[in-house]
Amino acid sequence: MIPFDFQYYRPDTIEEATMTFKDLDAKKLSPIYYGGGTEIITQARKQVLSTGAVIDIKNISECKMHEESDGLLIFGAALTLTEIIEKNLFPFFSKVCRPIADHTVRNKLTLGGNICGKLPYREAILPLLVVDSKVVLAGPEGIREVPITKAFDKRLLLKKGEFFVQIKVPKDVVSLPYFNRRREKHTSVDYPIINIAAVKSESKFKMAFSGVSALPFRSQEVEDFINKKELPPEERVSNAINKLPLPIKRDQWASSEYRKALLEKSMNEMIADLEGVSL
Amino acid sequence: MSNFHSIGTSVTRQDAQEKVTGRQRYINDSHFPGLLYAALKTSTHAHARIKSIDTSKAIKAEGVQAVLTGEDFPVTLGLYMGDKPPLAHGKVRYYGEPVAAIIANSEQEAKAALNLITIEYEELPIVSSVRGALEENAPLIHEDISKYKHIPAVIPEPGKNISNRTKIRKGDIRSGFEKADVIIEASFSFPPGDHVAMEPRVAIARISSKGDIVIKSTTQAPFIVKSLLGYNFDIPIGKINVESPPVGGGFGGKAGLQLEALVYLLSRSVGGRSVKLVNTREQDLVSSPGHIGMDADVKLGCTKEGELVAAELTYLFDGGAYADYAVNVSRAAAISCTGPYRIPSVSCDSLCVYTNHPFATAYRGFGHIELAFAIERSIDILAEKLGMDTMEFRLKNAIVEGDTSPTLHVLDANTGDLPECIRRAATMINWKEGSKLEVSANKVRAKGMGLLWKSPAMPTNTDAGVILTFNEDASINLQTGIVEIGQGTFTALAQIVAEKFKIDSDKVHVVEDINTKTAPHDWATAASRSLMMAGRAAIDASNDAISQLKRTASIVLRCPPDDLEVAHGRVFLRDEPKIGVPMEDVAIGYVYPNGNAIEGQVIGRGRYIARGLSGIDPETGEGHPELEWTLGAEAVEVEVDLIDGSYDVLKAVCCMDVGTLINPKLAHRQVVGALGMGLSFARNEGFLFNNREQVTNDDLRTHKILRYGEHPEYQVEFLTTPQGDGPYGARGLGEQGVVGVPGALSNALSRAIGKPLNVLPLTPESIWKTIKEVE
Amino acid sequence: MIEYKEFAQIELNVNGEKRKLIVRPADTLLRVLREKLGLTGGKPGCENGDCGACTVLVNGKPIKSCIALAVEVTGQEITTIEGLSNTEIQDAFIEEGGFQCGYCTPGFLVNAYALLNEHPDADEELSKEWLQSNLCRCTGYEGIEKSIKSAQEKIKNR
Repeated sequence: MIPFDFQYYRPDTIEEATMTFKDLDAKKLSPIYYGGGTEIITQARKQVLSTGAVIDIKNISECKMHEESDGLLIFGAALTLTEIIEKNLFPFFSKVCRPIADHTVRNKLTLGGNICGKLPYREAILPLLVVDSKVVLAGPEGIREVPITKAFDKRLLLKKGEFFVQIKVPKDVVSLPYFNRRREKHTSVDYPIINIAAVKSESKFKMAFSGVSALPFRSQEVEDFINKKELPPEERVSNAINKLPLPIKRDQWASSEYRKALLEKSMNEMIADLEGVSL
Repeated sequence: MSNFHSIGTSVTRQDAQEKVTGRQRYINDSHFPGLLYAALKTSTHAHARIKSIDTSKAIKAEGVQAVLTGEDFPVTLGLYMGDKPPLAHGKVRYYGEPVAAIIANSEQEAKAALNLITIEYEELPIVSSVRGALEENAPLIHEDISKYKHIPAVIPEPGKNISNRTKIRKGDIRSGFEKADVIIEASFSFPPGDHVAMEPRVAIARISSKGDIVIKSTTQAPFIVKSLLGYNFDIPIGKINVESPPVGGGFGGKAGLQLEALVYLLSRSVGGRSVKLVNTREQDLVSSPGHIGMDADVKLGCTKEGELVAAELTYLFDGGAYADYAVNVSRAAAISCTGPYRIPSVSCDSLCVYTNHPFATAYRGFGHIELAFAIERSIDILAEKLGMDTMEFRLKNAIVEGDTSPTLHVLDANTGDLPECIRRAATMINWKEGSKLEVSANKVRAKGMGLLWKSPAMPTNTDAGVILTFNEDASINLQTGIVEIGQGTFTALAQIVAEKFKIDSDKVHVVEDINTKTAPHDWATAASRSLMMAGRAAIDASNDAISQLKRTASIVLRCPPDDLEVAHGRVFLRDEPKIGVPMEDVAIGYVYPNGNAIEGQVIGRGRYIARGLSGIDPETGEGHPELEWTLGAEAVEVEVDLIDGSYDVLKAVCCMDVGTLINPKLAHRQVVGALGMGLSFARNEGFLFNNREQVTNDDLRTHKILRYGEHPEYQVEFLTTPQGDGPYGARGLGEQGVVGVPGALSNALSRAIGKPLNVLPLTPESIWKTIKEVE
Repeated sequence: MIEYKEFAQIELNVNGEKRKLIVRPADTLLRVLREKLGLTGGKPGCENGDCGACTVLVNGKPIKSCIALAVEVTGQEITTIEGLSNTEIQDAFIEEGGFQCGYCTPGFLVNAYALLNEHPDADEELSKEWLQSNLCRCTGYEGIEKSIKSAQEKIKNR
């Protein structure tokens, strides 16, 4: 059980949400936005998180949008991963969401919670990172739309009082060839020790990584090296791996050597799959 | 089997309906106003002196009734050696050790106040492994070991981190190895881990105004709790009552004396008011005791014909910070040290070693699953060096009637048919088609075998009892001291009584909630002896009840009692069955038409005590501590990816000789559950420590056990060599299924990659690393 | 906007009954069901969203009630194990040995019930995806797997 108390708010509009945040923040209640709440509840129980108030965004219609509109696919931050997988507007996105946590937890875990929470995996962002998505953020100073490459650098860059409302993806990304490889320590219900999500767009690979290093990333340098088609695949892969922006981590799930070996294997498979090159 | 009325039928469990409707009440499913709640503050250090504890803020917090520390309870407790204070005193010896307790009006208030306690520690050098613990100048975890009270069978070594050493010296080891043509030496290890029962531990205590103590807990051993509380705290045992409702999984982890001692002290601290202590999952994994770890060195020799001649074994058990049951686990491993093989010369030193790890208690298999890993791997290594098929090697050396165990116990006619178990397991796994097959360039399918044996490690006077009383409708109430921990023994006991009375087992109502004041004495629901011993007691009680029924009926029917039969709800003349009385007419006395009543209620009294057990010689280990042996053979089939070490377990099989099957489906399910648990242990389990010996996988997110979908196809066969002294010839089987699995799995994987895998758990990375290792 | 500052006066729709309660905003659905409504079928096995022993249905979907707040699910239909009776899956669990100690059983039953309700023809892969959310230590999962298949047969022959 959570041994401390917090207030609970469920606003109906974006404006209500941000105004409430401003108000509670001024009252020094350390408010936080609340999606599925799965991480907030477990961390509060362990007393590694404390807050005086939570603002539940699930009633805000923009946060629950889940449709195609004007050539864009719109995903609200309060959508559960199961909703995203079942409606399947963007199959690559569904595929990456599918192994996160477990099925029952996915019925509650939201897109926003996965991307903005404290856990360093944020796997749901990976397919969105490699296409031209735009995130919609809302805060006391208003609503802004930011291209993902500017909004996300290992974490979603939010100003104080801002929350993630929805993400918009051009609908033609659905036809892009994609590749995904998620590996775990042993059991499939677990955090990833590597998770690679890639698309091939205009003959170039765009890749995002999670589980490999301390935080998820996409790197232009890595892509430059992987896209040097004049070199043999193994060389492209090993060069790319040497250019990772963050060191390959070592933790209780896996050593860095094993992660590296899995990365090599997976990236070679990616080239073989999407370029029709035999291994 | 067809001669039996109820035995051998897979009747539905008596508690099935309650369990599938969610109506089964476990201990934490009820609450009453006024019940105080305790919360524990646990150590963040693995080894440190406690410099100070400031409870001044906590005691003033909302709803707090009391805050206690080790200073309040300067005692040391233990099952076999009294080495553990209920709350850490002076120093902490493992990460997660309870250091302070808060008693408050509610759970929320107790937990909220935990952060208000400040503790100052002075870190001490850490002992992080058994080998490290045994080094010359290793830090001592228990400096005062010579001051601890202990039973004679436990032999600690002062000045060292050794809580017990058990020796086996059978035959002559030197001349034994001289006869060997092939010798192998290998070492094995695995870390300590946990039972991970689905229900975390709970204990409630209250003390009445006249000093009567009532404890209610998730215990497998209510009578042990009762007597140990009495001995350790100098309380007349008759003033203690322990209640034990059905438990959500035990696996040995809920045997012994655990939260009960602390919660008794907590209640005592608040004037005897009811206090409840519930483990969080994290505390259940780490603070409460878990599964022992082990390092083993094996030297094994055989002739060129493949006959085992000598074994030199060193078992170093990582019992963690306190002795608890661990000192008996290491002893049990010595008693069974060779596994079920015929070996004339055996030298074994089995040590229980202190380390700064969470401490260990009884765990399914009790020393046998641990030693079997080392032995079964060694058998494979030796057979392969000799060039003999590993299954044939096992067949050749399997222990049979007439052979002696390491303690020189001669295996009698009650011994199962191990060679046949091996043959059947081999058939089930299709050993004939080959034990290593290439599936593709990078994928290999392989099989491995592991034999199992186990006898209960229990006191020589272990006993059980059954009391039968009758209802007005002649249905029978059965009281026993066995606890329902998921094995369904109650249903089997009902079947045994039903067999004796030739009635439907539905008519035998087993009392589910155990209460030590009303239930007959029972040692503990552990060691896979409940069915055997309570079963014998049930037969004894039935016989007693039947003779009383016959006595009353003989008066009414005016005949000798010996002429009577009891069956199908009647007491009747054997040679003139039409002449008789309904059982309900004589079960609670008989009333004549004129109103005169005679004889009174029938109370069936049954008991059974272990036969002919003795301790073991401290130098040679010779003796007879084993009640009965259950033997079997297991095998596992895997498919391995040689590039990244990942693998699937395709099949797990077991052939076990269990004597008569009282309830075949229940038996099957027990063994399958054990196969799953053994697989989970070997493939993925164990505590992970950082460099400060703090446990980093202390919740179920990070402490992984087998998940649905990871399980293999299971196949189980039973042999039925009767256990002469078992109820209807039945033998114990609850634990045994786990024993051979780690050996079988590691043998299969070692075979697949062509390199020895001698360390658990067997994760893909550990396999990948071994494949990559340069010779 | 819904606002609960210290205590929340809420109405929960549980097993077809509307119940009025006073809860803390920080109270999980699991604790409220067990401690305020006496529905103790769902169990605290970890209170971390890992073991599934606390599983209930919210609008027909399995949810781990230990990682849901009571105040979040007002106005939604909650079904606990106590709301299931005489279902095919419960009968199958009895016949096929889907339980032993029974502690994980309510969670498994609720999840399996929802699975077969939504996907009566669930294949092994889909069953595995759903049921991986629950842990069992006693059965080795064989009895549970057999129960699913048996329940599917029973449902087909309704």
